[in-house]
Amino acid sequence: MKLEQKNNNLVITIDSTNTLDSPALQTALQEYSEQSVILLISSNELSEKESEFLVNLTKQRKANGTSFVVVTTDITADEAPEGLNIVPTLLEAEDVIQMENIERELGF
Amino acid sequence: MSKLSVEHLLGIKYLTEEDIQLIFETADQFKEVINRPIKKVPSLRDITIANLFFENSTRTKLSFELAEKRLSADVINFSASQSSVKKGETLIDTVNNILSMKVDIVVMRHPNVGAGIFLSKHVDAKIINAGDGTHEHPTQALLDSYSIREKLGSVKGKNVVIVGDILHSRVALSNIYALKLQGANVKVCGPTTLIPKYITSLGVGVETDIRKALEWCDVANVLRVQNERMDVKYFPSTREYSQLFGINKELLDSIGKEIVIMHPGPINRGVEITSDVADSDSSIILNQVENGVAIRMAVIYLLAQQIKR
Repeated sequence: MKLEQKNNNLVITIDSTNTLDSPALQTALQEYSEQSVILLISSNELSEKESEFLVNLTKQRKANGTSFVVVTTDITADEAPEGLNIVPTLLEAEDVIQMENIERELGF
Repeated sequence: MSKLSVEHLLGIKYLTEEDIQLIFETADQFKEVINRPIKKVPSLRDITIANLFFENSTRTKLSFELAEKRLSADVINFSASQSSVKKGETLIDTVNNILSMKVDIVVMRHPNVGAGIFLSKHVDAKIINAGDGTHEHPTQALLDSYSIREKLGSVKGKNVVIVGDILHSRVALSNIYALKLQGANVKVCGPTTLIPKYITSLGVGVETDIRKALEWCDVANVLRVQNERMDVKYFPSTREYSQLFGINKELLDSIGKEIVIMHPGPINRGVEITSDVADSDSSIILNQVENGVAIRMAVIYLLAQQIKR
């Protein structure tokens, strides 16, 4: 797992040696709880448990005034679970975060 | 003042009262033009406008397109459903592709709040917000105020009630900003579940009794019940909504005063308003449609004046 800071966002790359329930990911998410997170994954499908985990994470971050976006080229936005932001590139993830920041600034 | 204080039309919130007056005065001139036998002026014949609709729209899109054509602008249209373009995904790419065709003005409707603001930070073109989620629909509010001004002489001091689904309505929010800016007194009326808690912080009164609301007002702007924006039930049934908040001729007759009836359309006849009210002499619904073209011509014209050629 790799952690990077990019444009005030935390970018987490999950490689093949990590899973979404790894303690390292949990620790990172807690440590950077006040930052928007971009999670890069290379999974071609999400289990029900993983989907639920990611959707809950999105809700928690949203409630906390931050954003959570998953980047993968293997799952399209139409295949993504309801309530989860999935985009194919890092640039588009940053766009989503910027749009959600504007929404928050407008009081929504 | 002959220039707008803003570079884009992203929301009424960013306009001044002088901006609104300038738009109205410009619209007065265009209204005269669109009632001539030859309804077209050459004002924008070197301007290209892209209408980008990422959400379904018929009336607003047609109104913008007609306004652009009346001004002799070159027009390109792009539509995409919400499912194929989500949030920021592909939005900038899509717009940049279109802008590479040397587009000067972008008219955009998008399902996300603040989409126009986002776009204005990334692209080199004038942006006109044609509706962004539940945030704002500035040209609708401008044409509504313009229609009140036309019917009653002015907006200042008038009592205006906005009836219906305030929670999901970008029309309501933009109208509140526009009406307050021009000195009108504003109330909202509807089921408490469809009235956002923050509404009183905008200087707006809340009424849950439609009769009392109508007795108070000079103008009733009746909103469409937007079932497509409701992910949960906000009232027990359409029938109950109609009984409690629907406006019918019997109710208006029993109040015994002249009330101007408005509706941004499309109307759910028999739900928020009955046909005999929608088609009555008190109704200015069709005037709103006509004024929509004049107001959009004015907004486009005024923004186009700022483009350096």
